Amino acid sequence: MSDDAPLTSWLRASGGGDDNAGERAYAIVYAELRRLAARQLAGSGNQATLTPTALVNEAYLKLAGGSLANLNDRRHFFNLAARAMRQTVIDHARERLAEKRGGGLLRTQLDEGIADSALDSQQVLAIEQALTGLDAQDPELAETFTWRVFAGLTAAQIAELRGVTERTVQRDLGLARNYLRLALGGEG
Amino acid sequence: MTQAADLRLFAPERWADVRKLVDRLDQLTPTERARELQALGQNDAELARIAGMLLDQTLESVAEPLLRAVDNLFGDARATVPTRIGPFRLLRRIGAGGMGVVYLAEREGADFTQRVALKLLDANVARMNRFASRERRILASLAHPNITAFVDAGSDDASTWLAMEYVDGETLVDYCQNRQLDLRGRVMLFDQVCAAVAHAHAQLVVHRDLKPSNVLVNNEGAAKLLDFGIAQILDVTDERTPATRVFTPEYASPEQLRGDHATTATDVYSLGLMLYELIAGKRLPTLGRPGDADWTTAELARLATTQPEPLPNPAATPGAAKLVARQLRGDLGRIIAHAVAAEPAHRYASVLQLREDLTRWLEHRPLTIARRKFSYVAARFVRRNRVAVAVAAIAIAGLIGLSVVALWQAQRARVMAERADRARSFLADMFASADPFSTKGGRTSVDRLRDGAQRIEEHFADAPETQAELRATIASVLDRIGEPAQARDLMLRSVEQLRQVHGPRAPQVGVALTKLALAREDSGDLDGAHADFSAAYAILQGSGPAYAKARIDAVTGLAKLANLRGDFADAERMHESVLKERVESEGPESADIAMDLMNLAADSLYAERYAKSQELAQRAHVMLEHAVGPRHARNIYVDNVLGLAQANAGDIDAGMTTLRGAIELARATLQPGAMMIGNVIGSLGSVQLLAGDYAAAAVTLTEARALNKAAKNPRLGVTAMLLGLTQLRLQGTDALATLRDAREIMAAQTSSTDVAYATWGQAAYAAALAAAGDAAEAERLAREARATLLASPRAKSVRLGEVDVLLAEVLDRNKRADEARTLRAEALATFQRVYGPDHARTRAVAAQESASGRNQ
Repeated sequence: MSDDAPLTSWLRASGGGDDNAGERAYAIVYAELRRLAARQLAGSGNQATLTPTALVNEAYLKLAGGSLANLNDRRHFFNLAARAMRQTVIDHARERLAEKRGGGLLRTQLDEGIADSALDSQQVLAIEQALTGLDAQDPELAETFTWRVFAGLTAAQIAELRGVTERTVQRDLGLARNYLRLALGGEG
Repeated sequence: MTQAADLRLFAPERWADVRKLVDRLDQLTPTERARELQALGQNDAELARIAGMLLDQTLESVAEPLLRAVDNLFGDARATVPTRIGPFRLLRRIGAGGMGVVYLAEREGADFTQRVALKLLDANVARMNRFASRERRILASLAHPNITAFVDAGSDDASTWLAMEYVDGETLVDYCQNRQLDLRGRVMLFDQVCAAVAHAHAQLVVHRDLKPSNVLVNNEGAAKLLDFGIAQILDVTDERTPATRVFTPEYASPEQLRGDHATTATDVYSLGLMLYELIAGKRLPTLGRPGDADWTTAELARLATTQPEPLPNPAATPGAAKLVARQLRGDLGRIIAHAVAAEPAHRYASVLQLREDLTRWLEHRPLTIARRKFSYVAARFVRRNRVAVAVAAIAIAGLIGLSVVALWQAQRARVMAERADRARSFLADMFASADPFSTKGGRTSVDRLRDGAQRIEEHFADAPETQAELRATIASVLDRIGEPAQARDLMLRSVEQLRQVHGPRAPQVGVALTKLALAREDSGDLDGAHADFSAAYAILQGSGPAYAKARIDAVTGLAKLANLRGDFADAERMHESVLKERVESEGPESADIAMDLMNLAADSLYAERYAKSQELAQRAHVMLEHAVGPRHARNIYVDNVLGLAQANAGDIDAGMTTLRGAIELARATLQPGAMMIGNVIGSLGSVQLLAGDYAAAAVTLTEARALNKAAKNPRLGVTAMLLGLTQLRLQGTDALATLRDAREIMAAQTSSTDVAYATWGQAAYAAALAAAGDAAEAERLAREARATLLASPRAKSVRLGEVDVLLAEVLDRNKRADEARTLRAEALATFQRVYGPDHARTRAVAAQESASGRNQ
């Protein structure tokens, strides 16, 4: 049972402008990431340390195996993976906030863990908004940043994907970060 | 996207300026940059400020919360906590176990509020089980002060849940450390746990997953054992996910890791490990160990005091470590060593005996177990240079799921002996280099497995046994993921090597030959498989109980091939010997024995001894349902045989009901493309045909054919043939094409197609041909079919009756009424012989015969 072929062809098609194919490819990747994450947790008695890198690599292997030799295809894949991951983070943050505001889901006897991350959730959503702005302002910077944070790619890997030097990537990461800071109102 | 655009900080042209400036400044040294900015500041202060800010490396990363959010993201996979489950209201999450998430929940009663620990079972696990009355009875019978009481269980569409007494306390190890309990205190606490396990064993319940984290101690100092009975109820060997076994590898006994059944001795083993951990403060590193080496007290003592990550010692005084070591070298160590003996028969025969020795130790009396002679122990303790079975089991479990990360992490978490370490890191390396950016291009898991296999030789040049084990491991995985040809090549090498290392008659060679045979079978080389199974059996025949499983595999393999050849008597003999062996080693009833009975029922079915088949299948059905419950997937296979047997033995209604049930279960529990679904539906179709219900049969068999085709099921030919026959009876125009198609398919698979079906198919095709007008050719083909069948070993088959009926039809068209009548009479005699006079088919043919008689 191999999902390789469909994903690759959808990636190509979406690269060629087929939005529908792009959405399908995204759906596959998104579903796979969630499934992997859920399975990791359901399977192990202890909390597995999941990192975006591990998850994305796992999804990559599972979905694409050896068929993403083409650089463009890989770019596409990681775009999708990062986007999926980003979406997941946002969804999660929104759910957390809904809980905290007492959408009837949890009683007030919350353990501290939840309270803490509620704070983060608000920040996350704010950052997401700023990032959306960066998407519109400078897509390349946003892409670099998203790959770093959401897909866990290293500077070297991003450099290869973009066809630039590592130093450039490092610089762009800094620029993106500071842009977001500006957007969030911290003017240094 | 107007919204996003509104979120931009700068207008596009402005940003372009910013970028240009920033890019330029970036090339300069800090001093030059500062100067530039200052100069710029005269003209456009704002721009300078922004550029400066953007380039500032020192600012705190705003991405921190984001990174944290991503990292913590999956810390709570079920972001939404449901509010109610059954009669309980959920309060908060208290943990996650191997089978699902646990919540603290409350139930309001008339005058009380009951608190429970509510376990929501994992979808995978829950799907396989319902908490039927039998399970509830088991759980309820375990009432004991040291076992968390069972409160309630239930399931609905959304989830299956289990409510247990909620214990507010700490885990065993934490409790002991936080209260600084001394050795005696720990042993006494441990004895409570033993009391609980002994009680359960008295109720014939085995825990199977005993470990310190499964024991809580409340404020009154009472130990409470969690999850009792669950493991036994839920752990069924599910064919689809062999990796889903409800035990923890670090605490599993050698027999559990081998895949054998857990018994009370398994619990004794786990208790031994638990006691060691309580005394030494750390786990006994069992996984690096050869599966058949016992522990000496010296080792226990040494390991307790020299380990990488020491946990706080009991009664943390400076002399504590020495005290622990001394006790472990003494009687306490002997108790532990006896409990964790590799061979179940060498352990304490019961938990009660273990408790007896614990009491004796507390009272400073001599133990019940004999002191071992040092030389005997030394001789037994042979360090073998091979990979522990545990590695293989975990490796396979991880690799089958193609879960790279899981395997890697699982491997990393084990502490192992040096040589096993090498093997483990070798396997892990194969997958750890999952770098999608490597310029060699992406590599699939299969590539990696194959490359890994090639590297085995150089890596383990000094350890041929390890090589053989690793090859076998990788070969199994290759076979399972659908690369039987590669598996076969690998196993060939493994067999050769094992022959060299151990000698050609060694049992290890037999085991490897069995695996090789399976790989050959999967790649279609039935003759080769037969040769290998035979060779394996010849070796394993006299290898004793340790190799029972491999021996059974070899015989089962031979029996299956015999069935395919039509050698039913042979197959039956072999299945009977397997059954006998299993009953001897496992007792009168078990899920596997039920499957053995099913095999025998199938043998009888092929041999057309329908009454016997029905009886055996019925026994298998009852035994299996008793062993694993009615919703387990294995029931599908048994009920398939049972339904066919019932229908052929005369009870058509019962057969159809059974098969319908099996179909429903198959659809509910198997993967959508699974071959078995098509098989069972095909069975129902064949029964409907047998009953003469052609309209229903046509619908059913059409679906079966489509499913067979999609799943590349070897039964496609037969299914198509039955469909064609049905269409013929319905006088449809598609019968001819369908039957021609079926003939071709069956012709392409002569080695595995029963000649009785092939000739039946040919006769049916002939009848269709005659109906279409080509009477001469039809007669030739039909006569040929009859002759072929009569000359074959299957001459006594009931299909001869079918062939005769079809030939009679053709002859009728060619005006050879007399001969046709004779044939019909013979057919009737055949059906009377095999089905009996009251069978629907017999009566149908009888009616036909007397009708044609009247027409003369």
